Amino acid sequence: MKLTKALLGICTALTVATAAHAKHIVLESQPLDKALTSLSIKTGAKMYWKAADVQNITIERTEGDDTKLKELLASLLSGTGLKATISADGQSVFIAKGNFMVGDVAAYPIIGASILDMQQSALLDKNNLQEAEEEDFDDSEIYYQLDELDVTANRLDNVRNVAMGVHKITAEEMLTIPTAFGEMDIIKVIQTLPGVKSLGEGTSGFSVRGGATDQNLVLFNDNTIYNPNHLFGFFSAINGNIVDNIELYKCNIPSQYGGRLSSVLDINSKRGNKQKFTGNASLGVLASSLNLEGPIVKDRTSLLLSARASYSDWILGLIPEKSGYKNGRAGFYDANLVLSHKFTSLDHLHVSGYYSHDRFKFEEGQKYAYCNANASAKYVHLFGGESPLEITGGFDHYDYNTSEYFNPYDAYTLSYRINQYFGKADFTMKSIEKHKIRFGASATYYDVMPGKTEPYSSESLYRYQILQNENALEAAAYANEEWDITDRFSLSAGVRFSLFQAMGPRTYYIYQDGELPTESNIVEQKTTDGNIKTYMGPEFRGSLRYMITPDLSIKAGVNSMRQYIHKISNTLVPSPTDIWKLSDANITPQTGVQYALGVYRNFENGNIETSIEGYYKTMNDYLDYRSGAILLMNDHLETDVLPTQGYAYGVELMVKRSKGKLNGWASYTYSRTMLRQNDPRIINPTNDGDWYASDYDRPHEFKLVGNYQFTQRYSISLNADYSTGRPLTVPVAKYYDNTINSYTFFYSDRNSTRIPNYFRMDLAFNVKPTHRLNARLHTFFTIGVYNVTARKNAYSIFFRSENGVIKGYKMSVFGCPIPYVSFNIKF
Amino acid sequence: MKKILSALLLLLGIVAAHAQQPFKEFIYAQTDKNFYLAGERLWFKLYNLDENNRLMQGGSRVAYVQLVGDTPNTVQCTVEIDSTATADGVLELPFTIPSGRYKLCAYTRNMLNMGEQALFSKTIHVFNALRYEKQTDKVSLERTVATPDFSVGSSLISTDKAEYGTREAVNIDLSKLPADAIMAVSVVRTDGWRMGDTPITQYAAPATTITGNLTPETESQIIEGTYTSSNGTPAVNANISLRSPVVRYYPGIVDNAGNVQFFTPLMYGVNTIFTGVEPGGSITLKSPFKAPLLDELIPVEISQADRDAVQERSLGIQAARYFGTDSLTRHSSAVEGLHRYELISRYDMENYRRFNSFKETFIEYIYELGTTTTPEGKQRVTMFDEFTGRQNQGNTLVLIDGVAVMNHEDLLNYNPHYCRYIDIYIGHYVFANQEYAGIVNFRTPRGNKMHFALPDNSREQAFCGIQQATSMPLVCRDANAAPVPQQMPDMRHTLYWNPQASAGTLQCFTSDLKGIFVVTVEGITPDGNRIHTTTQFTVK
Repeated sequence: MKLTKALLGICTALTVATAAHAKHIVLESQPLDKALTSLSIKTGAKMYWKAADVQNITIERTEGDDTKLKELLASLLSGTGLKATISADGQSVFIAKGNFMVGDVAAYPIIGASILDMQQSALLDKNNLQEAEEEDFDDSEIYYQLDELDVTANRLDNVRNVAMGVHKITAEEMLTIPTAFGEMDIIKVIQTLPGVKSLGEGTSGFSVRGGATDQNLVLFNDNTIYNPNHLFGFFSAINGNIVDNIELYKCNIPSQYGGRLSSVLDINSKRGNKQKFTGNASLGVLASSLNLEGPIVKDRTSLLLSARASYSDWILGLIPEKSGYKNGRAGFYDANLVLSHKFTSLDHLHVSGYYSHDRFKFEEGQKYAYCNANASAKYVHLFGGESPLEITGGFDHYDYNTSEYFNPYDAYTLSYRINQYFGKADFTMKSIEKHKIRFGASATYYDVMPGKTEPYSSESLYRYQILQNENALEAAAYANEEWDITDRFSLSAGVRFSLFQAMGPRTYYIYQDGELPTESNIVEQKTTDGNIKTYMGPEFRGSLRYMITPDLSIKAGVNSMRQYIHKISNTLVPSPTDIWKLSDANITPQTGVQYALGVYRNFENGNIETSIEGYYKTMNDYLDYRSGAILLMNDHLETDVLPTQGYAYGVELMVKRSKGKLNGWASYTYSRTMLRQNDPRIINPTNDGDWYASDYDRPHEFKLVGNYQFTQRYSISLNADYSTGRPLTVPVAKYYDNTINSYTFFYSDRNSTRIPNYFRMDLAFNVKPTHRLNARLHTFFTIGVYNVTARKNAYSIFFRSENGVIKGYKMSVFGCPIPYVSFNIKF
Repeated sequence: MKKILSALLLLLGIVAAHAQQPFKEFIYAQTDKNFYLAGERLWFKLYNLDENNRLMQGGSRVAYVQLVGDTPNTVQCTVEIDSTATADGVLELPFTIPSGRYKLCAYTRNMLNMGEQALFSKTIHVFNALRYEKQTDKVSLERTVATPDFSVGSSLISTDKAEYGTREAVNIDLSKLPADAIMAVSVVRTDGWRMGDTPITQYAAPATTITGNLTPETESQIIEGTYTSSNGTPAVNANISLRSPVVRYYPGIVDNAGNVQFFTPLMYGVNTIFTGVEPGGSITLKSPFKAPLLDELIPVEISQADRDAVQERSLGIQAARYFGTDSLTRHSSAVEGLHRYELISRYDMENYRRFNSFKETFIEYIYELGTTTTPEGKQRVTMFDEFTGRQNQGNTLVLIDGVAVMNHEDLLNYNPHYCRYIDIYIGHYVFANQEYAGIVNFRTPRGNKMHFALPDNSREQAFCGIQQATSMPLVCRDANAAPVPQQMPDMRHTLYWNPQASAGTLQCFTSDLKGIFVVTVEGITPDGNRIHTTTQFTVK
């Protein structure tokens, strides 16, 4: 088409040209090089141009006389950035990005004429030559620098970040923390952070800033993990080898999370390698795992598969005969699947599945088993390449069942199950400069089977019993704005509105107003298919940061939370028989507010982070149990629990060094957690309604995680943990009770004394033998000792009346150093 | 042992070179033309002659060529005299060079021993058509003959036609010339300016006597420098090294007056030379160009009538530069090493996790290397000795991209992430008065010793090495080269320059310039017969 036009132009020009002496030239709109060619033919002057200069330039229709070539060229080239230089005889025309110097320059100075960058071509040639001479290096120089930048960017900058009380730990950091039996364990890792307290040896439950164990939301790839333990808590439910990073929010919980009072632990798994097949295996004394990852479709779809199984049955065999547990058995397995697919660079899909199963028994004739099962799918679209929209849907499941069959006639199985279906959408808008706006909504449907007993076998006479299902819907919508008001001052403010609807079909009781629910003051029994009760309320999340210098900042924050699900447990430590109870007509949701203030200072260019954070928090409607409470197979739990009120405060000091030969962190925390029963309906409140220390109250706490790298090959890790003993109620006197004709204990005020202080030190020696990047196998092994000082830490203190004498006993889980070896292979 | 011996032999070679006495040699320089415009190239061919005007045998290996003007206006280069006792090269006249009457000087270091009159010298006129200078006492260049006839006389050469069109092949017949002659051919448009050239046939070596005692560069190149020390320490270990993937490290000899001499193999191209010496001292390199400058540059002017022709030429030069049709082809020369280094192992750091310190890298990855602490408490790099089975405590020569690092701690503190290869040369190397138990060269991806800070006793200096063999661009020399596309200008004024012509037929191509072109052949036969012959043709 263009060619036709050009030809037309030439024809027209030629016809006109023959008409007169001064040729009139018309050039139609056409590509510049074609126009120049035809102009050259018409005028007889040689035209010179560079192909690179004229490409993609189309000229407008131009006309003029051939005697006025200069004017014609000027109008032809106007707007193209090109200039024409005509030689003195008019026979040569040079088209270039500037004028060549012509004219009588020797006689007259030229003003405003510029010499072209004439070195350009010569220089170009020289460069080409050098490149050919040198060896063919890739851009690895840039790559290394980027690599280094990445590391820095991954680190959560304590000073700069607006949020407070956030810890992010990467897989690399986790590897070096010594744990019992050498398993890389997420929960053990977070227990080394300030404000996170372990409940005792070998337990996976944790308390954050004085909160209860059920006030922590444990998320794995958006799925809620109800029981994060394996093997009595010696292992975490999530296989550490597939974890990419974990984030623990102790204070400023992002607005997209809710439903728990104390903290959110967000565990993100790795995503499969989209380039090549790799994997790793770890061998431990109790369990081993194998992880494989690789592309299904290269650069597009990847799969990560991981399985872990224990061969831990022998461990109970080591227990002394007199414990009676010598014939016990314990084991578990779990499996993970992570599928990632890239539709385009802006659209991604991630599917995650998780299944875990635990079983144990202490003696013949009993069985315990529990199971976590989760699945989720997340679709991410990046608007404008930077603002992600995430749509997630999933299913969470937890169940347990225990059986006792010593006697075939009363052998039974007890089971519990919770199913949870959720969907959510989150959008983060980063397109406005200095603003990061995040909003979204979520809905969760709960389906809880609170308890079921059934005969173990056909011989058994045990009664079949099933409690009524509990159903509820929890919905929430939130919006959050992060705004850098000035370079120094940033604000994050969010509001989350949550709604909880307890739903039927269910039969429930209405109790006498102004009295605690008891079986004796039931007023009415109601059955409904619809709503039983709706709770709702706003939650506020806010924080401010002011950077005094780039290395020093102060932050303040406030955080309010609502929790609609409660764990009912008859032991302090998490056990598989704990049940989760939804709020209903008689059990109100827990609420809490936390205020915090902190100062953050970095040294060594951000390598050393120091912080002081203080907090004060309140808790309402936290559940405590009445004396003689029946917690299993109870359809009306409200008659066995009590609402309590609590507050906690503390200050956390932390020093962390991320890089260097010596790295790790040390922290000291002073904190208190107090509770009281101030509900006026309680006739005889504990401690006369006065404040008493919560079970989680352990004022002093010192923690140290240190690594020293002798070389890249050898390093040692030290982990030390000191804390005040847990509060305890002890018998202080005994009296003879005439009614039962026996001595009975008189107990102290609730939690007025404490078990001995806790101290433990672990040491590990890590060896990384292979550093050759092209090696087929990379190994990493650790030799360590858990509890080096062999301190017999009290797990619990209990009292027994033996032959009329009250004897106190201290129980320790590990009374000796536990040596271990673990071995990891990456391929 | 073999290595030690060869090193010692080489050392003896140096001593022998040092003892080499000055002798008589002379240079005749042939140029493609003798009137240039700023931005043009001066192509030259040098003939190294003895006092009997025959080709010099076993003469100097390096020649210096200078287009001498006044102080800032001098263009110079160094060329290699090859085994035929000739050299060729090019001087690029910058666009900024002022108009004037210049002097082309060509000489060897040895010739400086015979005084100024021994240097070859001829007048070259340069006109800058881009730069107007208000001068009062200009030399006006006039055309001597309107159309000189170069075909007169008994020309031994001929062209296939007398007239050609633009961009047409021209065949030049040189078959009547002696087959063993060493010749250079130029085809240049004659613009009428003939300024009394002395052809080789009329050249006679000047009568001189040897008075100086500069060492002739018959074996190696000699780079001179001056050693200065802030604390009066005498230099023991003066050295120069070049940034290079292979070892290019040369020791120097320092005399009591602080003069340093480095005997190096021929070094090609523009280099950056790093000098190293004991802490507290430094070495400044001296320029090898010794031709005396003109006190005053005599300006040149062109008559009004001749300006159109000059303008056309100037436009052609500018266009060629802009369109890139004048790009030179530089033929890289093989790197010559003084010692035969034996690369024992090369560690590709890409295959290995980079540690934060080289010390750790040595321990974990490179068994040949280690570190030791000197009695002064400084860290040094040591090398594994295969014979003793332990780390050798002797000197290790540590280089980064070929640049010697005197204080090993500087390198041990360098970030290993910048390092791509570690090359290890095991063995004993003797350099002048220093013995090394091995050489280790740390190489960065681009060979630019990324972020490595040289200490004060190291100097980085630009050094104009020997010009690499250079060919004329595009169609000028090779008949098989691709022709210039039609829309690209081809306005060569020098159509053809071949400094290594031989008897036979040559082919060149005419450009877009029209006019009378002169073919000039100059040369010399091994038995001393000198040749100068011309012919001409017209382009219409």
